[in-house]
Amino acid sequence: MSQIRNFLDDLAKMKVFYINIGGGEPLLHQNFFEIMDYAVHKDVYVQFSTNGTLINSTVAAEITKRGLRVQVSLDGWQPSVNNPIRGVGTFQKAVAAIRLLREKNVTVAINCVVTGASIAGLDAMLQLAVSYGAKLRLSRLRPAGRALNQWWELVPSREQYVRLYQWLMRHPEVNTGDSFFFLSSLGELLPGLSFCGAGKLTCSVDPQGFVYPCPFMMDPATVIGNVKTKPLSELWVEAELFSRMRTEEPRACVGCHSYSKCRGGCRGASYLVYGNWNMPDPECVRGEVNDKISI
Amino acid sequence: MDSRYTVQPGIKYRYEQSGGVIYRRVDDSLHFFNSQLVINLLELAERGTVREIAAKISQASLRGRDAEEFVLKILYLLEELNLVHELEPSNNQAAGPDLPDLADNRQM
Ligand code: SF4
Repeated sequence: MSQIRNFLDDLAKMKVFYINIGGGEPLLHQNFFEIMDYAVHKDVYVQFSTNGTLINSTVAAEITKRGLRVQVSLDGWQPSVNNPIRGVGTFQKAVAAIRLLREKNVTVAINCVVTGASIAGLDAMLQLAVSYGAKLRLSRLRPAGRALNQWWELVPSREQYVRLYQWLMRHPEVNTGDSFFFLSSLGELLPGLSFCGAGKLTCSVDPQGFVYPCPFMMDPATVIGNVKTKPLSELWVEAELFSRMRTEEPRACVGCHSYSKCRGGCRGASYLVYGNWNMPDPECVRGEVNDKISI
Repeated sequence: MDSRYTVQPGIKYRYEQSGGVIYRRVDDSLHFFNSQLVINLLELAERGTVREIAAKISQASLRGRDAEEFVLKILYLLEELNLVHELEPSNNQAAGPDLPDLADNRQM
């Protein structure tokens, strides 16, 4: 616990606004609420992701007490769409958790990973979220974890991305984090950031304390350091990889008319696909970039 | 120029090497600015009238620009983003200036 406290002290000193805790399942940690209490005490906001299975009325009350925000994963608006992706019974469990949390007035976002096939159902997904008083958050499918082998099959086509862009323009209330800013190259800017925050505004820390530029670059080759041996506040200003990510731009994007809206897209996606974060986004919707890439 | 502004609830900010970033809790939005002066202005927004803030920052970092116009322009931008809002004239008579000395290290 003392290491975690030191870490949170350092985050507060850095004026970190909030932390996102992912899993696995964060609620399985035996000191979860003790850690949350300390974060709240240090005025660092917390949001965590859960599959909802461990949420009962007591847990929901503990979450409310601390003002934590919760993201529950659902990849479809009904069991027949969600469960083949997330597992048998996951839809019912997630929805039960959302109900309990909303009864206690917890701010809940339903996190949905967008695939080519799910774009047509976004209206239904939004309706589901609204019906529970939850927000909808859409995330991009990155070629990592369970999606690795099927990524090229599941990932939206250019036409589907155009439809998604138009849908997002009509629904500014839907949160997309840093997932879809690269679609702004199709027209007007989408709400939110217009560049990838990895190494500039955000980074990731794994359970062992290792620091990486983002959750999609958690690789031995991109370790920045370890918070057990050096505070994040020092790593944040000293690490060479961070300063390169703040200043370098993909060469193939030079001259792109949309550069100010996209700045080369998601560094994590480029790293996962090309093994090089400083390449244009592999899903660049302008298309022109593909001729310039030599891997 | 005698108007006063207040920062919206749930706003946090910090300086970065090349500017600064503002976070709004209500919708989880982040706003990045290439200028530390914008963050500086947000910091000062509740501490005096536009005229007082302009006087303070022109001493510290504006060097020859029309400070009042500049301060207003940035405050309008911050208001458009829902990060600050202008107080009603009745609230404008609040306490006098409470402006700290500015470090002369804010860059545009
Ligand atoms: S060429 Fe680069 S900057 Fe332009 S849209 Fe594609 S990835 Fe974005």
